Amino acid sequence: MLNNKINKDVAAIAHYRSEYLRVEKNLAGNTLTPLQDLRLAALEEFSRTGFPSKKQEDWKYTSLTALGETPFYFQPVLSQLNTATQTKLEQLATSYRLVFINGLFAKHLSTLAILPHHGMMTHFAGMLEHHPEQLFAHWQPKDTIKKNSFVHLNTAFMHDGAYIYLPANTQLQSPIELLFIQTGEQEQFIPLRNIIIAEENSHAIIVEKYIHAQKNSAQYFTSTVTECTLAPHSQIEHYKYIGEGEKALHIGNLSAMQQKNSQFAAYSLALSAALLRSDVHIKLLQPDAQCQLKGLYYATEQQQIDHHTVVDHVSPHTKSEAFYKGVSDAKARAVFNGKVIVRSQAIKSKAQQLNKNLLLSSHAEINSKPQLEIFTDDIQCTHGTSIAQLDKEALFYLQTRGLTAVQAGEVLILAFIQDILQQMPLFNDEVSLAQHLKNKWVNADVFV
Amino acid sequence: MQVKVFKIKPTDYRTDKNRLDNNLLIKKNMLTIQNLQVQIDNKPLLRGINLEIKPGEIHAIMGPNGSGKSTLANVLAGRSDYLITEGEIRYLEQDLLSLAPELRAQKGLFLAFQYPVEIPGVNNVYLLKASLNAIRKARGQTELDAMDFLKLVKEKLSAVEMDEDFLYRSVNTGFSGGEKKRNEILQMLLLEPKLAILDETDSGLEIDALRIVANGVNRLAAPERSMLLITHYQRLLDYIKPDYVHILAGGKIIRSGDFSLAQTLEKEGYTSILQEESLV
Repeated sequence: MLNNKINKDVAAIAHYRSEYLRVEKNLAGNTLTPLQDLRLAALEEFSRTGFPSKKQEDWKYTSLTALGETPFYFQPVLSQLNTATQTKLEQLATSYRLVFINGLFAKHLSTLAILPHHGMMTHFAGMLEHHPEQLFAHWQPKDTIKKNSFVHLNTAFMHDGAYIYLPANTQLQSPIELLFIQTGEQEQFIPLRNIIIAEENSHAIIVEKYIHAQKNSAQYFTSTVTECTLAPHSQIEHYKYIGEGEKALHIGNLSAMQQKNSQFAAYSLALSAALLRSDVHIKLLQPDAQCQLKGLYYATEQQQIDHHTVVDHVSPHTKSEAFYKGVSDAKARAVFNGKVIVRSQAIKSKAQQLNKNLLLSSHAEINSKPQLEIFTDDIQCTHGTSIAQLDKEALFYLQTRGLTAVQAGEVLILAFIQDILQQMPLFNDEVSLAQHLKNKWVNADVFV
Repeated sequence: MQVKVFKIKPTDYRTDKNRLDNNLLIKKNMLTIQNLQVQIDNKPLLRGINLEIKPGEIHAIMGPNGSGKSTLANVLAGRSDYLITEGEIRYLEQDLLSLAPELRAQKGLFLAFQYPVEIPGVNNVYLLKASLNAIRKARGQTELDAMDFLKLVKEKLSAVEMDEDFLYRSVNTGFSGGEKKRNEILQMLLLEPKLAILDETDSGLEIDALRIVANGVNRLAAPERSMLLITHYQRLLDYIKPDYVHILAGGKIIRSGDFSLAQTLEKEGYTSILQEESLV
């Protein structure tokens, strides 16, 4: 058993090393020495550890078997979308939109704007090619999460993604939509690196959407790292919608480094993928920095949906709030692991953490683990978790009013998720969400 | 004063009320319960209930606490916690016990709950509309659109003296006892059932709420509609006059009669009848 695991690790490491050598020359910015150093160091780190094992506490409930067994390949060639999907995209135009197909920027489908004061709304590969100095002036990739082999793998292969630079006092009224469309090619590895930098007193809403463009899409592997840097008094609202193909593996990592008085909100709606892991890592580095993490996950069939959040209160008077709700049905497994760390200097900080779950089947599973690590006094921290089933009395009541058991169940599930949806304004479209939940596996290309 | 106690088996007696003459032409029963025996966890709750209700009739079932009144209401509505060991229930010439609760509702059976369930997150108006349209659909009627529905529901709201904000609150959530019961009556008025069962709708109501509830019920009384009022006290019957009164005790109907039986109970209490039946 153990040998088997080691052998698989060795095979996976060997695969990604040879894959790196194969595509190295095609990776964006391959002539830039600092970037090359970064990639190689990351590849070494990844080679040292391989994929995490279940023995690591943070990965205890996440089965990565499919990842270790299947070799995924990086293909830096822009795929085409079918006309139906393209037409649908055009109909749902937004003010600012960056479209990526299988991890590569699709300029012809994107709607870009010139931002005042040298702001940037472009793609990562483009920055590496045309403005590497500007990129490296604002981006410190070494500051982001260490000790995570998926971040290392992503760093070794990072090629494209969104790059948003908001100069001081830039306040965008419309959200920036980052649309990642996967066409679901067999064994495709899709690494994405998104960089969001908010200078002083800037404000933007950013929506990351991962969707699949065809039914019965094959097994592919999306690896995302989104790094947000918030200067004093800046505000970022970040939305992440995950509607990947039914066999897809999605491992996402979102981080935010927050300076004085900055506000960060991360809203997440995790609906589909065979394996969906979403990590959020927030550092409240200076006084009065605040963050809000909200999310809804809905796992069914044999899906595995796993959310891990870490909020690190480094400075005094920092504030965090985490509220996640989840539903697990059929043979699905859902995990919520939320950790709040309050460092010794972080006096007068406030942290709230709440996770509520609904278990719909006797074969479904939910693991909920809120954690607090507190190294100081004079703080306010609360945490709570619950796992419940549908209320039988309410089901019966609705049935006596003429609703079928299935309809009654749907009404109660929507009632359960309603409060969390209301707290994520852009996702608060109950009708389309209800439709989406019903058709979870029927509609391949749903745009919320 | 002489106490008049009817000692007739419910299935045997007939009254000759002129008021019901029209309906005597309709031979078919709305509801027929024969020898219904029900238990939960091997504990018998109903020990052979017999009852017939014809269209247009209002029946009251009275009885002390724990006599099986609510069990009967819940079995009729289709709650699945009970084990039915014997007997049969026919509703509109169909086997009621084989129907799922929603099919019973769609065929016109309505239970006003003794304890209406709070459902946080579901708008009252949403439930009312979903419910009405499910039932209209089952009747082969077209579903109502938002405008027509709202017009209809506002009309029914005024009948139970409820404000419009009731529509936009979560179902029964944070409602007072009286508000919950009025909400049940609102649903009943909207759904226009063929057989309405009111399970202790009067309990815990102050006098004004009781009047509103009774008005709602009386509004609905019609030759083609039957009602089964389940109550502990005679109080409700001051407002809604039943055609028949049955006394349920120890899981059996031990007395049946007309309204005067309820008046007797009001004066004498349950004790003398229970003693006579050796139930105490």
